[in-house]
Amino acid sequence: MTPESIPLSLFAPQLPIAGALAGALLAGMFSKHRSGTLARIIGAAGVLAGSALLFWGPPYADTWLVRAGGIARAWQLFFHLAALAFLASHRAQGEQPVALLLAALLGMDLIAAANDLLALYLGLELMSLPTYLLVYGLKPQKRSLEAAVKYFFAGGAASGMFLFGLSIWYAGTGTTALAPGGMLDRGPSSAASLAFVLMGSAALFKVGAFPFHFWLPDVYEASEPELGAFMSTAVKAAGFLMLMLLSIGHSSFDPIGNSGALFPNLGAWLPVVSVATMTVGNLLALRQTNLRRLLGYSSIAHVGTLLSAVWVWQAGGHGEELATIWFYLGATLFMNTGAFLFLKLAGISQVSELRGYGSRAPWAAAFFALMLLSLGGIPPTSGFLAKFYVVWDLLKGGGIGLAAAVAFNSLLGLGYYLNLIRVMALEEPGQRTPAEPPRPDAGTALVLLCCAAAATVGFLPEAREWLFTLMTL
Amino acid sequence: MLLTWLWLAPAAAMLVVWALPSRRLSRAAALAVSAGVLAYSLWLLAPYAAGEGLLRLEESGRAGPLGIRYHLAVDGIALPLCWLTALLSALSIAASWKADVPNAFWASFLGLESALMGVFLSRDLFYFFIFWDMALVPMFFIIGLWGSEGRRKAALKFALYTFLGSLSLLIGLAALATFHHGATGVWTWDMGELTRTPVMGRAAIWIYAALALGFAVKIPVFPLHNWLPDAHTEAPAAGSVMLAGSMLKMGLFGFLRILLPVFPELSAAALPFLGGLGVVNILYGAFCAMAQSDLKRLVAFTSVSHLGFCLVGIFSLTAAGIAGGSLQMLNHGLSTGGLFLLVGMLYERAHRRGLSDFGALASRTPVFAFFFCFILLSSIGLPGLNGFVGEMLSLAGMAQVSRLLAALGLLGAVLAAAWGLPAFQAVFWAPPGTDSVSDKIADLDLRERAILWVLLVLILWIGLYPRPLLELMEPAVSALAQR
Repeated sequence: MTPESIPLSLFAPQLPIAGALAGALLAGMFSKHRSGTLARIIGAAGVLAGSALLFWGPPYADTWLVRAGGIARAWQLFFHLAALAFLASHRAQGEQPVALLLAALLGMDLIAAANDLLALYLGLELMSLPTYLLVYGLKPQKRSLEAAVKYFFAGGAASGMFLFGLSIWYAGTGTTALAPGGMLDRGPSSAASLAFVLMGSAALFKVGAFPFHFWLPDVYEASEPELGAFMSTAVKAAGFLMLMLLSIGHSSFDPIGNSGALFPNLGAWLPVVSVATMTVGNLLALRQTNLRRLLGYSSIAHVGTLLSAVWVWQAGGHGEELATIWFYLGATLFMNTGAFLFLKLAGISQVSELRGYGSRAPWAAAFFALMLLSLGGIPPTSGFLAKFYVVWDLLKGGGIGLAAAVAFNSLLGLGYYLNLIRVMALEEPGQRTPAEPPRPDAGTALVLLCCAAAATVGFLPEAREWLFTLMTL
Repeated sequence: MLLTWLWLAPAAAMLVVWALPSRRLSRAAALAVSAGVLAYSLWLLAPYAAGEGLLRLEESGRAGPLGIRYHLAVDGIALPLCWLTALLSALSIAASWKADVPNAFWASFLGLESALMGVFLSRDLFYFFIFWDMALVPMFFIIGLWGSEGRRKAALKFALYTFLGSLSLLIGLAALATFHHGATGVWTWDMGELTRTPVMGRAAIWIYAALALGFAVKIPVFPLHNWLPDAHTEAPAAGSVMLAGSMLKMGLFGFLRILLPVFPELSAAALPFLGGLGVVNILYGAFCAMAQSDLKRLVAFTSVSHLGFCLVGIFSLTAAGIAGGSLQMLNHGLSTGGLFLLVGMLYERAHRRGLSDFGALASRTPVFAFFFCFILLSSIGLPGLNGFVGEMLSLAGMAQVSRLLAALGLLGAVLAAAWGLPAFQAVFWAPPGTDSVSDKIADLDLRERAILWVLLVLILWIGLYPRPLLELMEPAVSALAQR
C-alpha cells in the first residue's frame, strides 16, 4: 500500500520561513559586517509572511501525515510570536543564530501539524538540534559549552526514549498514526503503557518537568537572555503540545482538532508529577542568586502548574480547559520574554546587581516588577488570571487537592518574586548596580511594550473565552 | 461611566503623574487630580439630593462564561467611604507638600486611591478581589520606600500578612461561587445574586472562615494585628493616614458587603465570637496605647481600639449597631487620620516622636495644641464630637443582643481617656525635660491649618448633626439588619 501523497501546498505557511532560512544563510555572503541585521530582517519578514499565510493560506486539510489549518494554527502562531520576539531583540553579529532559530521554528510548526508519530518525532528533532547549537553558539564560552552538552545528552536520551516507545507502539499496533484505536482496541496492555511512558517522558524532558528538569537551569543560566525567553516560551509550549498529543484521554477537544483516545488513564501519575515539579521548582528558586537560573527554576514551577491544567483538560475534555492552557502559555510568552529581555537590556545577571535599581532606573525597575508580579500571579496581571483559570478548572473538575497545591505553591513563589521587588525597591544601590537606565532600541522596545500591555489583562476575566474564539476561528 | 471614573481617573492620572518631567509639576498634578476626584464624588450625591435614591447609580457589563460581570454600584454605606477615600487622598497629598520625594510617591497615592475606590464600588466578587489586591502594592511602596528607619521590615511584614489574608480571601470567594453553582446551576460572582441563595451546611462554615480570615487580617482583628503598629509607625505620615483612614475599612466593608448579607445565619452564630473579638480589640488596643512612649505607635494602637467599636457595632446585627459601625468607620478616618497628620507635622519639625521628647508645647505652639486637643478629643469620644456618636450607636446596638459585650466595650470608651489625656499632658503641658526639642518647633503654617480646618469642621458637623449621614445610610443598613 502506498500512502497518498502530500501536496506541498499544505506547508504554505512554512515555505516563507524555509525561504527565509536559506536567505539568512545567504546574507552572510553579501555583507560581512551587517550579516546579522540582514538575516534578522529576512527572518522576520519570513515569519510574518508565514503567520499571514496561516490565516489566508490553504484551507483545512487532514492527511495521514500532517494537517493544515484548524486549531494547529493557534500553536503555530504562538511559536511564530516567540520567534519574532527573539528576532526583534537579538543583536549579535552573524547570520547563523537566525538560521538556527528558523530551523527550530520549522520543527515546532511540524509538531503542531503532526498527525502521525513519525511526523511528531521529525518535528521534535528538527526543533531540538538547532536549540542545542543555539545554547552554545550565541555565546561561545566554557559555561555555555557545558550547558549545551548537558542539554544535548538529556535531549538525546529523550529522543532515544521517544523512538524506543514509538517502536514498541508500532510493534503492538502496526501503525504510527496519531489516532484512536490501535493497541488499545484490544484492551490496555503493559506494552502500550510502556510505550506511552517512554514517549511521555520524552515530552516531560522537553518541558523540564521533575524528575527531568536538571538540564533546564543550567541552560537558562548559560544562554543569552533572548534565547532563554525563547526556550521558556516556545520550546516549553512545544513540549506541552507533544505531551497533549500523546495524552488525549477522554477529551473531545484535543490540542490540534483531532479527537479520540490515544492513551487514556493518564490521570494516575500526572498530578504527582505536577505537584512534585512545582514544589521542586519553587523551593529551589528560593535559593538562587543568579537571575537567569532563578527564572529557570520559576519556569519549572510554572510547568508544574501547567501540568495540572493538562491533567484537568485530559480528564474533562472541555474547550475551556484547553483555552486555559493556551491562556497560560500566552501569559508565559509575554511575562517570560519581558523578564528575560529586561535582564538583557539592563545587563544584570545577579540578584545583588538589582540592589536599589528602582532609584537608578525607575521605569525599567517598574517594568520588571510588573513582570514579576505577573509571574507571581498577583492581580490584576495576566499571570494572576492564568493561575486563577487553572485553579478554577481544577475546582470544577474535582481536583481540589491539586487546586490547593497550586495555591500553596503560588505563595511559595511570592517568596522569591517579591524578594526581587524588595531588593530593587527597598535596598540602597550597591557598587554593582548599573548606574544608567537601559536604552532599548526600537525593536526591543516594541516587544517590551507588548509585554507590559499583555501583563495587565487581568482586568478582563473573559480573556480566555476571547482567546478561545480567536484560536478556533 | 459615572462610577467608573471614580477609579479610572486616578489610575490614568497615576501614569501621567509618574511620567511628568519635574517633581513639583507631578506634585501639583496629583493634588489637582485628587481634589477633582473629591469634587466629583461629592457631585455624585446630586441624584440623592433630588430624592431619586442612590441605587440609581449603578453600572454593569455583560456576564462572561464564568459568570463574572463588571458591576459597580454605591449605596449609603459605600458612598461615604468613597468620599472619605477621596478626601483623605487629597489631604494626604496636601500634607506631604514639602516632602522632597520623586514622582512615584505622588503616583502611588493616586494608585492607592484608585484601588480603594474600586473596592468600595465593586459589586462583583472577582473585581472586588482584583481591586483589593491592587491596593496592597502602592501601600507596600509607600511604607517601604518613603517610611522612617525601620521601613523595610515593616513593609515586608505588611506584605506577608496581607498576602496571606488575600490568599485566604481568594479561596473563600472562589469556593463561594463554586458552591453557588452547585446549589443553583448558575455561575455568578455578583454579590446581589449570591445573597439570594443562602449557603448551608459544613461547607458554609469553611467558606465563612476563609473569608472572615481574609477580612480580619486587614482590619486587623486581634490576634492578627501584629503588622499594623509597625506599618503605621514606619510609614510616612500621609501613608499612615491612608492606611488607617481608608485602607483598614476594606476589611470591615467586606464584612458588611459579603459576610453579613450572604451568610445571615452564620453571622448570627458568629456574633459572640466576632463581637467578642471586637471587644478584645477595643480593650487590647486601649491598654497597649496606654503603654506606648512613641506618639505614632500610640495612635496606631488607638486605631486598633476604634476598629473594635466598628466590629462590635456591625456584629450586633441590629440597625443601630450597623449604622454606628458604619459611621464609626467614617469617624475613625477623620479623627485617626487627623491625629496621624498632626504627629506627622510634629515629626517633620522635630524628627522625633517620643512622648518625653517634648513638653510645654501648648505655650510654644498654641495653634498646634488647639488642633491636637480637638482631634484627640474626637478620637477619645467626647460627646458633641463625631467619635461619640459612632461609638455609642455601636454599643447601643450591641446592648440589644449582649449586655455583657456592650458593657465591656463601654469600658474601652472610658479607657480612651486614660491613654489620650496623659499623652496630651506629656506633650503639651508637662515641663520640658533636659533633651526636649520643644523650643525649636514652629507653629503650624497656613497650609497645615487649612488641612486641619477641613477635618475639624467635619468632626464637629458629624458630632452635632449626624442625621443626614445616618439617613443616607439608613436603607442599606436596615436591609442588612433585617436579614
